Amino acid sequence: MSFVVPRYGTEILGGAESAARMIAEHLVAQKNWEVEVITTCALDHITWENKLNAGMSELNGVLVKRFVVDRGREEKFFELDAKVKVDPLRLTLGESKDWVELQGPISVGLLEEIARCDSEVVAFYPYLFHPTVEGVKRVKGRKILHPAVHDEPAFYLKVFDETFKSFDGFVYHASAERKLTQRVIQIAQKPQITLGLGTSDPHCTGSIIRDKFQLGTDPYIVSLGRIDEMKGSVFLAEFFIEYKKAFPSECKLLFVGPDLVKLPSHKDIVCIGPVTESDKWDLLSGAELLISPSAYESFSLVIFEAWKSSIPVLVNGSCEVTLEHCIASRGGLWFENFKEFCVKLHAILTNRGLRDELAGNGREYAISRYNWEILIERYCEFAERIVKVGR
Amino acid sequence: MRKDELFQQKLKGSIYRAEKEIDNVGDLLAENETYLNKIYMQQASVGSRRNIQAGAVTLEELLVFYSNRGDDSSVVDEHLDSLVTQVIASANIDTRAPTASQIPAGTMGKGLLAKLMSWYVGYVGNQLNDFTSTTARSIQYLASNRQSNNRSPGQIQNRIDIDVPFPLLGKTSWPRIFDDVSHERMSSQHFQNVRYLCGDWGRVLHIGLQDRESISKLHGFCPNSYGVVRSLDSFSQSEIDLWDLRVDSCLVHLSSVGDASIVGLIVENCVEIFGPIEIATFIGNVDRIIGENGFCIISSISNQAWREKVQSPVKDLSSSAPIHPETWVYLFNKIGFSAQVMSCTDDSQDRFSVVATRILNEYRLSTDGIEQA
Repeated sequence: MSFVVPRYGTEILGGAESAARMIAEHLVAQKNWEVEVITTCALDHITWENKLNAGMSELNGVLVKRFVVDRGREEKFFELDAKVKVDPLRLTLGESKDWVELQGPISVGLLEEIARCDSEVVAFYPYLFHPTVEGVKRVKGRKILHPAVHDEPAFYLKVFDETFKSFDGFVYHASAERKLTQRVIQIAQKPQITLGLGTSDPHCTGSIIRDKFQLGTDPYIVSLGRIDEMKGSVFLAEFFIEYKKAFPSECKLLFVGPDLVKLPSHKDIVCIGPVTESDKWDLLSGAELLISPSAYESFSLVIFEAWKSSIPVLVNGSCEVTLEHCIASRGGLWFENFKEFCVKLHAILTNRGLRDELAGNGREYAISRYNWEILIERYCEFAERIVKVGR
Repeated sequence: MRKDELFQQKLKGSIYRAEKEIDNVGDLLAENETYLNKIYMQQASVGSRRNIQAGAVTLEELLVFYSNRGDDSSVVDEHLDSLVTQVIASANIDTRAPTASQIPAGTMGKGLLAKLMSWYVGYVGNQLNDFTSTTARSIQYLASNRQSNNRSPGQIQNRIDIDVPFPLLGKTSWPRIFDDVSHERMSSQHFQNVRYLCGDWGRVLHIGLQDRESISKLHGFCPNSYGVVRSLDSFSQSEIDLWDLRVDSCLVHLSSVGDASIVGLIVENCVEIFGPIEIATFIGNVDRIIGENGFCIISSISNQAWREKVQSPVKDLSSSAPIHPETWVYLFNKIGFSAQVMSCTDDSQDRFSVVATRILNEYRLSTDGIEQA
């Protein structure tokens, strides 16, 4: 089996590319499948600059074939992207193809390798980039797409209609993603499963994390992931400041992850920046709850990490995926406006019974439904069915 | 046992007596349980409304919710009341959200309508269940007539004599005329016929089949079939994956299917409640999604049974009564299908199927109904 992803490696945190790596590695570890990854030398999804060496290597049992990026993101992209953000449906098919080309990464070597590939199944991850749009046309075997779609303007571009219809099967992270995809593109008749991702078990070191980050003894809330306006970090900070005016307490809000935007300054808002894996688990285990303010998630690993750390979550109710998980698990609450944010945050912080119940439900949901053994078994059966149908 | 452990177990329904062992623990349990139920009720309510794209919960709705607590309105949750009051009364809080809302506009009216429709569809479904074998018979018939239909469209006999055993897809309680049919007598030839109909891997969509046995049987002879069901609750994860089952509404799903992308469509427990607009949408989608040489089987309650046996609330809430089988045949003919009615031959005449096959390219019905090469 082959995977095609625009970036690949342990350096890439979160997102669809990490999800691809997790599935590839578990296929090797659990099922002993021969898995290769066809990717580029880029690490940065904005510039697509070649950072890693081209050629073949092995990473955790997976054969990785890297090819140089011939063209990264071009200046003209931003001009066209502005139009996409205003009204993607107004762009012609030609313009939408231009948008994909200008966005990059364009790698001729990668496309040639896809054409040479004789794997029975080739899986692409995610839908948005040039390797998927152009690569799918070159596959000899069966083609699976892991779209990792969220409700963003680019998804409505005409070029993706054609791309999606070229695939033989689809693997979704959540049923909200499936519904969104089918609402926009007529591919409901294609074989598909809603799989999701597994999460690793917490490995807390028991280190004195509060001292390390000078947190004192105050209770704290965690928001984990890229600190970015698109991820809702800015409005979360603003909401929290307003909340603290109404309900003064010692509680702090910690932002953990790479910061791409400056947050409002406040004594109870702490930007920790990126942390090690073990620090992440230690921080989670000591938190009162995790808040996921992002409206654009296709799976949201962080809420599962929170549940595995036995803390509840509070999520943005306009994100269909995280909302779906909260409803299904009863492991978290959600807000759709500022009032709800205040009421629900305060309820979790002040009612220990509620907090524990939510945390317990979430943990049970994460463990029973999103463990790798089950997921990989289902994935393999699906891939085998796709191959069988094509014979 | 610690209080919080007791609380956990109480919520899971495992301990009811232990609460007496510790003073005040009963109050603690009751308080928390009531509180949790309210949160969950609110969440479920928001969730169901969100599914139909309704708007966000407004402050007014929250207040209504918190001040009317359904069954246990006598129990006052002072904690939550005071919390909401504080939030509203606080002069420090700007009532406008600091960032623009991404919530789509919606109305309570939509939510109410959806609830009504949901109840109504479920009710009709329950009333009219167990007719799967009508569909089974249709498939059988369709398969056995496939060759002749290909060569002489429209020449299939109107009267159908069932003189062969056939698979009972549904529950065995359905019609007496099938009572003497046993699975043992069923010839594998007939399954092969259906296989011929679908091809080895022709994609077949079934909508409205809900019981495991029916779906399993259908999947046996249409191995590339997939289905839309009312609920996944009664299926295991492996069944959901193997049979590719989803939850969706009939018309929404059909509109998401690609052009000429399926070989067959089997619809049960759906068309009964379609009004004229839904029927037109349905027929339009059938025409669009079924490929050349494909087939469609619909199963519906008869108009007479609708009048006589369905209860008044259901009829009153319906946009119209089920249309007659002849009308279905007419509609299928209009989109270039050859269609036959299969009604049950027992006294009740409760249900019928319409079996329609798409006529080959060289044959099309002219406007006056005469076939032309």
